[in-house]
Amino acid sequence: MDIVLETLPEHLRAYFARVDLSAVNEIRLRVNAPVLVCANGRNMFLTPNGLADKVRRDTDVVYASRNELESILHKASGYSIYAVNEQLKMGFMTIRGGIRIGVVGEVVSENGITSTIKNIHALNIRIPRMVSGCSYPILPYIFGGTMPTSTLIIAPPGCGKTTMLRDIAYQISDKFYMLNTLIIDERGEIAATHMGECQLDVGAFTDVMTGCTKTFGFENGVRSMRPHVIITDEVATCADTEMIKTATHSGVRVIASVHAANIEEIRTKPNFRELVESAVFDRYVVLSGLGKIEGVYDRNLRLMAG
Amino acid sequence: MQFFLLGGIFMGFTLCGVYLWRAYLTRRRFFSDTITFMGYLGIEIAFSKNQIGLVIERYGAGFCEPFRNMITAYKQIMDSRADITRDGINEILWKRLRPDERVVVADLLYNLGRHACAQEEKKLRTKNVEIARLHERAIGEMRSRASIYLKLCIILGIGVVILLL
Repeated sequence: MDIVLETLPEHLRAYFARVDLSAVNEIRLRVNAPVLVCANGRNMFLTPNGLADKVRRDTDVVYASRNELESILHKASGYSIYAVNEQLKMGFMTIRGGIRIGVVGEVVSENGITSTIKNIHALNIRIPRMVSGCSYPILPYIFGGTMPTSTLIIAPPGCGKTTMLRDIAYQISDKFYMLNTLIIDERGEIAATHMGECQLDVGAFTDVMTGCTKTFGFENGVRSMRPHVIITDEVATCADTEMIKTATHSGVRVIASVHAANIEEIRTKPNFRELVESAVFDRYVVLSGLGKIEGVYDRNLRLMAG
Repeated sequence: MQFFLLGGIFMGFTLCGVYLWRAYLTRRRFFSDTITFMGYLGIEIAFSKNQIGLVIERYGAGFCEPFRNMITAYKQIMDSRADITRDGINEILWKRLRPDERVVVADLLYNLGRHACAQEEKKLRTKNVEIARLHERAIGEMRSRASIYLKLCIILGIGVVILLL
């Protein structure tokens, strides 16, 4: 948490001195709006006396200014925004400790290509946590023998898909199975790589390709790193699903996640319908709350547990 | 004894002249180093995209003392994770800069690393023009005034020695 405090402007840092930082998951700052802190899954206001669920007057809460938001970005980038511009274009920045700062503002495009984000409107500082062993309940379903089965984790945002994938990577690479694992971490969320170093423990047998598209990661990673398992987050586009199909046909197991509320949505999503029909994934795990496993389904979407 | 005293007086005047000459030389070097630093930074922004702190660490030792001290103090602010403010920048500027020069150099330091690549390069190019103008002025002053002061001090030294003789 020291890293987060260092990144904040001095004015805000003073208020955070009265907050139990070990419980904080997110800090949301918007221009000229109250600072919101998500601690233990609850959104609260930052006040001069600490965190509060409710406030009586506008003056009771701490506000963030545009200058402060810009100062956070400047500091978080090592006082060198140009050095993180490639990440900024994708709307985030990863700093030491795997802390990810989501950035929204005015997107600047040249010839249809995003060049940067200016006039920052809001920041979301997300503090990742390792939840060691959170994948234990689903591991018996993923592992039939010595190799895992290709698995799709399905959940709406904020249910712990990335945390689950991170723990699966650690368990299969390091703890139990010692398999070559490749994480294609497009947005740097799973391993939180910073300056080439994984900020979160994803296992000693894990390689991480970060900042690249899934297509690039699959194409090059399979050839160069000879992985047994590929783990990737937030599969969405046709190109992603096509690459998964290609990878599974070349003998690599894929464990991925997707945004969806339930198993029915997967059936109806155009890209995924084909994946389901061609039985690319052997298991589907649905999460319905923070780390809560709603059900495990087989390749024909029959409920196995839940 | 008298010979040594007169020699000392002459040396004193000459040293004053050299001191003034060196002051102009340092001013010139300060601005040429600023331009060189901006050049290094431009390369980093365009290619390796290393952070400013690393650029200072890598190239800082080769600069003249006032410029080196200034950017080292700038790096110390960064290392302490403090906010970079205009007041903070004014504190670390070389004391011998004139008011108009202070504005240009302070603005350069304050805006470093605040923009994406294309905008940062554009800003550096604009600042480069302003710094180059100050550099030209420093060169002009060195050519005209520095050599005059040096000669004047030597002549004064000789004059005082003759008078005392």
